Amino acid sequence: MADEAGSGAASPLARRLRWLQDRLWSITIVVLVGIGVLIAIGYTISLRLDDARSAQTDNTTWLVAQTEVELLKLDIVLGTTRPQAALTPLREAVDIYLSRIATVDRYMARAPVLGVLQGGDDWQRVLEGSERLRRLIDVPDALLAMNLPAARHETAALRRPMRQFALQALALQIEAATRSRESLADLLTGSALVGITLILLLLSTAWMLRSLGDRLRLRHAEAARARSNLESLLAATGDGVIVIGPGGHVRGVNAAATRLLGRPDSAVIGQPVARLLALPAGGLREGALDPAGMGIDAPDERRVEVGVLLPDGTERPTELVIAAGQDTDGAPLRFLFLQDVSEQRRHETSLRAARDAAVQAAEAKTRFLAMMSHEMRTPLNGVIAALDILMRTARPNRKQQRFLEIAERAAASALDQVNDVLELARLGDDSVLEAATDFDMAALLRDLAEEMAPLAARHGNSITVEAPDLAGVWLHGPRRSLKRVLTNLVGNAAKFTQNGAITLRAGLAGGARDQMLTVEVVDTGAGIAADRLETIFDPFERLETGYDRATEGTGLGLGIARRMVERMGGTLGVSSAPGQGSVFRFAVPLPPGTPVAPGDRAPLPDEGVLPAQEILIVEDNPTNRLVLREMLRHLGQNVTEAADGAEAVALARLYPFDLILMDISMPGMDGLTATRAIRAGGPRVRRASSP
Amino acid sequence: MSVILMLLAGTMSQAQDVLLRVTTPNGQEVAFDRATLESLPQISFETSTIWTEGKVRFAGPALLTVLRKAGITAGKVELWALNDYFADLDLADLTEGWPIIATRRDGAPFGVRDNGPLWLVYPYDRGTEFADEGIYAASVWQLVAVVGLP
Repeated sequence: MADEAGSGAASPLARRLRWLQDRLWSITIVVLVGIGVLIAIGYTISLRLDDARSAQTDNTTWLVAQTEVELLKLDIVLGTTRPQAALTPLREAVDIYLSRIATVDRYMARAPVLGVLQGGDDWQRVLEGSERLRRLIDVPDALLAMNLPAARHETAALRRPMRQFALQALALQIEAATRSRESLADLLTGSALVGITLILLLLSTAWMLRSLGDRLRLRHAEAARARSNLESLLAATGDGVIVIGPGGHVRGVNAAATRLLGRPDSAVIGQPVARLLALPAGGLREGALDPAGMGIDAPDERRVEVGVLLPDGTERPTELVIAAGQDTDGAPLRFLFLQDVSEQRRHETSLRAARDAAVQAAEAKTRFLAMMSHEMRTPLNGVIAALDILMRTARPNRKQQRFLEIAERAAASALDQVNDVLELARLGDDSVLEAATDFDMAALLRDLAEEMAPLAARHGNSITVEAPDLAGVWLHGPRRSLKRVLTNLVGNAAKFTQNGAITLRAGLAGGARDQMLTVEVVDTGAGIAADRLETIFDPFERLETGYDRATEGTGLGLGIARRMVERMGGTLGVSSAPGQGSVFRFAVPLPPGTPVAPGDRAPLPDEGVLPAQEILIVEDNPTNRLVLREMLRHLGQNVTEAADGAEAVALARLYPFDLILMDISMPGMDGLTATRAIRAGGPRVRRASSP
Repeated sequence: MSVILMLLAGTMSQAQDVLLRVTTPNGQEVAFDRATLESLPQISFETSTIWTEGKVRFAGPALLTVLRKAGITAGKVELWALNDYFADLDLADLTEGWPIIATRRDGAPFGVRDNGPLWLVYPYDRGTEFADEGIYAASVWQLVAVVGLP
């Protein structure tokens, strides 16, 4: 929605609105000025009408005409008055006439239109004549009778200027009335023009507003439709949606959210969101929370897990995605999308428990195997040693000799298997491989080929080494582990190849800093089907099943080889096809080593007769003790025995043994404690060793 | 009472000239001389007129008072001037305060040459409603008779 509003800023509708808005003031001012002008004109017209209505003047025309009438009446009275008759009517007529003259004279002094006539010749003659008439009349009756002819003469003389005056007054009146009407007409025309202009202006503004209104309504309908679609979508969606306004208060929720929150709309809207959700302190970066005081931040749109605080006080595990938005008026909004994950969590918990149980069981199995193997190695060693002693000391006949050899091979094979299991268990934990040493790689290959030759020969196979690059090359690394890998691979090839050839190819790759040793063990054996290529590296995996298997072994050899290569940081793989033979190849990073001169090497033990030494055997197991004693005695050594640590310490105090062979784990005082006690007792022992 | 007034007027007509004759709708005539008019409640106001210069103080009885005295209380009357000018008036348009039949201008009686001796005047300065041609036409000067119309 906010985006829509944002993009709308450039739309023609918005531009027109802006245009109108900018001009609204000028339009308003023009209209106000126009109304002011209309009012002023109206006021003027009203004043003029008032003038017309409230006459500031009497009916001037009547007033002037009446004066002439009174003069004529006086003329008539004068004409009919006889000197001997009563003179009162004459005097009355003169009085009326003179009052008229005085009234008109005073009236003209203030009347704007007729003012010009007051100083005119005609009026002056009227005034002078009237004055002469007054003098003739305002006399006693006897004199008046004599003045009658003169008075008649005066009135006759007054008639012409009076007539002139009346006509001029009439003309002036007409002219003034015309002027007044014309100016009133001008005023009315002006006001009509201003009025029409204003009406047109207002009409056009109204029209424009109406068309804008129509467009706005259309836009509004569109927006309402979009909003309704959005609301339907929100109502239909399975995710709970909560809209948070400024201050962290809930603005709105959809139906899924009310279900998820376990509260009706009314109990949610307006609430602070912190009362509905248990926000993890670190998860939502509460410190950086929000400048807008939302109570919740939208750092990125990743999922966080929060608890929904249900009305009954429990929490519902929920996944939360926060998106930031804006209100139409720019206020920041947060949209929270909630997904109930309680079911998921339950599944995860049970899965985790199942996995933990399985891991635990596997570990227990491994521990059990390792322990069993260790416990089996001790008696097997005993068996082998006993057989060895028997073969050296007794004089068995041919048949006995054969059985003894079978027994010894079987015991050796069992020991091999036990060792393999122990090796595999050891590789399973995180213990480090042996310490790296410098060694001659070509020599290692040569020795290996020699050692494996008898095994290969058993199935009629030959072993060839092809390593032209490695002549005189010294490497630095775990020599014994590398040899073990090669032994297992070559051994495997020898076991599964009949009357064939085994080729050991080795070379170097990379520079001095990232030097890799690459080795290929190629055989011409039966080959491996494609679907078994990876499983052969699994522990206890062997290709043949059932009673007719042609080979023996634990099946651990390849698994051990691969794990060892991986521990060395390399990779081991195989390519093969049934009937085509197999190629096992591996590459491990091995830096160049420093050649060691033959003289520096520890002298190999001489096969000759050992000098007789005083040896103390400390061992709790009577069988082991017996076997060891017999072996050492057979080698011509003097042997003393101790069954536990305490006995050993006591014996060591009595006699300075040349050599003490100490078992570590013994009941009572263990080997380490005993060794410390003997060493603390002084340098009476020349050499000590612990297995 | 009107009979007595008439008798009184008749007996005193020698001493006082009749200034105003009022004829009721039924033909009865009541005559008023100066003394009678001045014995009625007097109303006085100062005003300018369009026919005089400056302010003038007029004094005299209200027309309504005079008509009531003559027995006219409703209807229309004609006001007649010395020169046979006349104007109509409705009694409904009259008040106790105006118009008055002025007997004195600035405290003194005034004659025919000064539009007297009786002049029906309104307090023209009191408002624009008095600046009206009807009012001007009704302002009959040299008033001599009032005739009540049936």
